[in-house]
Parts: sequence; C-alpha cells; structure tokens
Amino acid sequence: MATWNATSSSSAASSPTSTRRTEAPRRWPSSESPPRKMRSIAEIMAITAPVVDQAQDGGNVTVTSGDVVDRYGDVACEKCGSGERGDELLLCDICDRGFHMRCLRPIVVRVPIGQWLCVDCSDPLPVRCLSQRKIMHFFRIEKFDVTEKPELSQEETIKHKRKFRPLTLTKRRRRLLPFVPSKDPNQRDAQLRTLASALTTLKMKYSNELTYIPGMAPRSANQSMFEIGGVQVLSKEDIETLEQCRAMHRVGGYPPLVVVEDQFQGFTVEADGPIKDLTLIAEYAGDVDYLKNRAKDDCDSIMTLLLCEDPSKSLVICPDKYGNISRFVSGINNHNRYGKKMQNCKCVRYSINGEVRVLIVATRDISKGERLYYDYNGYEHAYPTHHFL
Amino acid sequence: MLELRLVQGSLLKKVLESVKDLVNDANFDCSSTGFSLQAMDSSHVALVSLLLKSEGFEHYRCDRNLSMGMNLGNMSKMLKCAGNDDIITIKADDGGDTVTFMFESPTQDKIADFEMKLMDIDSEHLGIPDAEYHSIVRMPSAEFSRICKDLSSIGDTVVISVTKEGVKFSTAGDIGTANIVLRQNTTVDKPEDAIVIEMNEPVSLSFALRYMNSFTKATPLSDTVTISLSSELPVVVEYKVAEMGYIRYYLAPKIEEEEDTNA
Repeated sequence: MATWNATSSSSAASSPTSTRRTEAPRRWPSSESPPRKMRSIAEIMAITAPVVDQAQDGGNVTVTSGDVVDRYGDVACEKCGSGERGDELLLCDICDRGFHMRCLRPIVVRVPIGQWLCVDCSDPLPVRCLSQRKIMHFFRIEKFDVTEKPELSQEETIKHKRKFRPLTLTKRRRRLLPFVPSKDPNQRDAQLRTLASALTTLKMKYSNELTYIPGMAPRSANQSMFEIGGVQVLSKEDIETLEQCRAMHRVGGYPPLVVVEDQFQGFTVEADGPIKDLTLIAEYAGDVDYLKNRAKDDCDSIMTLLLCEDPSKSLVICPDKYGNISRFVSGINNHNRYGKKMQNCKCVRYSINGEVRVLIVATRDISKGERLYYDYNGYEHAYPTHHFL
Repeated sequence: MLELRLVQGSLLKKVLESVKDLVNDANFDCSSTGFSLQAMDSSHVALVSLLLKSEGFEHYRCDRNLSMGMNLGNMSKMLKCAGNDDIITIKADDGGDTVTFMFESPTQDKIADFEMKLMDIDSEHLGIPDAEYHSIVRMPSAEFSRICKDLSSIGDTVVISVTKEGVKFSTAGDIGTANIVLRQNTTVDKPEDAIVIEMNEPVSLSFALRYMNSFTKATPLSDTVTISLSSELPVVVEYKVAEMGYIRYYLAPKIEEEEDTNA
C-alpha cells in the first residue's frame, strides 16, 4: 500500500505540466471486514457477566480446559491435607488419590511422564530378608591351562637351577605327593592296631575305597558329569601318585597316622611322622548312598560326594559299615582365625575316570604328634555351588 | 628382571591407599601388558581388579611374567615414605625373593630405596566375563563418596535403583530412612561434574555400605566414578587412573533369601 501511494505522488510531482490533484489513495481491498467503530469499555463492562473470585471461593474452582470437565476438583493431598498448589498435585493412576510432589518421600522433582502410582498401589515390596552373596557365586575360578606348565617348567629349570625359590609363575600348579610310611615296622604295626581297634569299636569293617552296597546308591549313580559345573579332574601325574599310594597299601605301607581317643572329640587322627604339604594322605572311603536317604542321619562323618541338579540324585559317603582312617579325621569350622590355624588338611573332590572320589590332602607341612583337622566348609570355597543342607 | 619407572609416583601411592584396607595380601602380576592385581577381600564379597598399563610407565621392563606376593599394608608403609612428586621405580630380580622401591625427588637431590620381602601367596584368579550392564551411571567421585558416607550414618545397606527418573540411593536404619535421588545433568561447566545415566533396563540392587565406603578410598585417583549395575550381577565401581589404567571394584549384591527346597 505504501508503494502505491508513493508512485502516485511522485508521478504527480514529476510532471510539472499536470496540475491534477490526485485523490486520496483508495484503500486496497483487504480480506478483513470493513473497519468498524470500537465500543467504549463502559459499554462492554455493562453487558458482560461478573467474574467469580477464586480466592473468595475457597479454592474449589473447577478448572475447565477445552471440552474436558475436571472431575478432580475436590482432591487434596493425602499427606498434608491441602488442595492448594494443584499444579504440584499428582494423582495416582489406580486409586485416584492426590499427593503433592513435595510431600512424597522421596520428593518427586518433575511431573512424571506416563503412569504414576502412589506407594500403596505400586508393586508391593514386602520387608525382605537379604542375604549377602559371595563374589564367587558370580565369578568362577579360571581353569588353568595344563599345556602352559610344561613350557614354563622347562624355562624354569634352565634358568633357575641354582635358585631355591623362584618368584612364582602366573598360574601355580602343584602336584600331589605320595605319603611316606613310617620306616620302623613295629611303629607301622602299632598304627594299624589303633585303626583296627577304632573300627572294631564302631563295628565297622576296613575298606580303603568307596563301597556300593545293594539298597544304597549303585556305582552307576556316581558320574562326575551329573554334577552342576562338573568336578575338577585329577591330572595324570596325580592319578599316578594315587596309584603309587594304593600300591603301597597292598604291600602294607600306610600313611603315618594313629587313631587316638580323646575324651572331648572322641576318635581323632594324629600324625605319627612328618607329612609334607600336598601329601595325598588318604581317600575318603565308605558306603555311597543317596543324600535323600541320609537327610535325617546324625552320623558325624557323612561326606558330600556328588551335588546334582536334581537333589534326589545327590550322593554322600557314609562310613558307618565300611571305612578307613579318613572317617576319624576331625573337622574344624574355618570361619574364625583359630580354626584357620588348626586346619592342616583338606577334603577335595576329584573326577577320576569319570567317577567322583574324595581325597584328603595336606595343606601344609604337618609334624609328628599334630592332630589332623580338615575344613568342614572347605568344599564350599573350592566349588561355587549352592549352599547345601 | 623387572624394572618399572613411574614419573607420577603419587598415582602408585594413591592406588595402594585404595586397596590396602580391602585386601591384606595379594599377588601383583607383571606381564608385557602391564602391572596388575586381582584379589578378593577376606570375606570373599568384594573383588578388586587393578591395571596399570605398561604404556603409562616411563620405563617398563618385564622380561617374563611374574607374580609378586606382597603384604599391602607393608607396601603402603613404604610408599608413604615417597614424596608426592617423587619418581617411583619398582625393581625385582627373577628368582629373587625381594622387591625394591626406589624414590627419587624431582630435583634429583634425594634418593631413597626400600627393599621388601615377598610372600608366597596362593591365589586363584577369577574369570570376569564381559557383560552388557543394565544401567551405567557416571558421576563425580566426590559426590559418590559423600553419598556413601552420608547414608552409612543412617543404615548399613544401600539400595541403588536406576529408573527413567534417575538413580536413587536409599537406606533404612533405626533412626529412620534416607533417599538420595540424582538426575541426569550434562549441562555443567566442567565435564567431570556431569551426571550421566545410561539406562538400558531399570535395575534395583542392595549392597552393604561398608564395602562401598572402602571403594571410595580410590576417590583421589579420579574426578569421576562409573557405576555399572545389572540384576543378578555384582556392581562394578570403576575409577580410571590417569591415562594408565583403572581400578575396578566388584561387590556382590545382597539377594532376597530363597525358599530352601533342598532340605
């Protein structure tokens, strides 16, 4: 519009001959309605309805937004009882009760997007009994690589022949040692006599290996593959050591141990000669039975043999009819320092030729006269399985 | 022959302070990758995994892989004798039974050497699988340390929940309850003050606060801490060691008692 005016006036000015006075510029036709005269405010005030004062009404005004009529006009916060600050009042999507964001614990800072439920309508969290898990429940011990060892030991012997104790290599692997029977035959006889009399007292017969009696578990039930996670396999060298020990047994060579009767502990086993660390002392011998048959048994020498996924297939060793010296070895609870000091051997389960067997192995050098103690809870640490009984 | 020279000796000092309260004795493993340690605390609930990469050392010589068993309390006593600006050198001979720490002052006018007997520690290495965590929270380490300290004055167990609203730390005790909620906040002046929450799935786990308070001893090492959570997995609390590696703490959660069906 402005430009139109300008050109018309300039054309008038630029032609001196024309004295025609231009008319007032005609308004360009617009889409709006023609200009109307405005009404005065007084007229407007006279005809409009009076506005309701919110404050006077006590805050019960319903807010209408568009077509939706708000049904929650009477809602008040369950915590403080006030209906004020409606913009901070959250409504539970299930029970429709109101809660100020700042009255909730924990304080809700922003209006939640999506569904919001009050404490009572949220998934119920009953008071829980929490038990602390161990880290080994989640992370397994890395199985070391047997092939690594031969290389390293070769290097080791070349470089360190003269050194008495090299810095340990990345993965420690120590082989089991066969036991050394006492040299004096009379001493050996005396040791055997103590074992024989102890077994007779308990009306037991001597057996140096696992026995499978009809009526209890069959040999076929003892397969290491049934165990969850498997059982550590006894290495070839250690199987040789085991065979060496059994060969010694056949010719009358036994580990240097005596069974003594103690007024507090009953029968216990004492070393009758020095026993080196990692010596294979004995195999835990006895009758193999299903765990479920022995759940109520109060025999003190029951030893875990196999833990299966199906607990009715789990096996235990119960030396009550047959057994050897191992059933007399005392166990100690390893959860306190006192127990830790006393412990000098451990019961370890190994998979030998597909079957599981339990061996008692020395965990440190044992001197003559020392009582043998193994860790009752030992197997739990070595094998991260579920807690048992 | 092992010889490692670290110009920023204060890092090693701080690292020892971070682990000595959790673990008493542990094996330090040296290989061509770096100087590392993996050990569980005496209760077997927490695990610490430390790595100082060989690239971070000014001089790194490790002829063959070795494990040095050390009492961390004793090692810390020796490292406390080093100044914060000192250059620390660790030396050991293959086949020897001692390790030597040498501290040189930056101006080269004071040299101290400390020799420590090594121990024979039979430790098993645990395999830590790489996992995708349900939620990862990165926050200023000082903030996390403060939260753990504050909550431990109220209760002994913290419940860490990550939802789309943010991360919530709650505890309950004799005197009452406490809740601390942190929301994502990336609009800050310094990137290390940001709180970044990556939530793939909501997660809620309970942990014992006394271990968390041991972990926060590593706060001087890094401005930020990364907390990775996944249901049914231990939490990972990680502090990066300036361009050298990391120190990661794993803590097993407290899980609801299950019905004992075995008995």
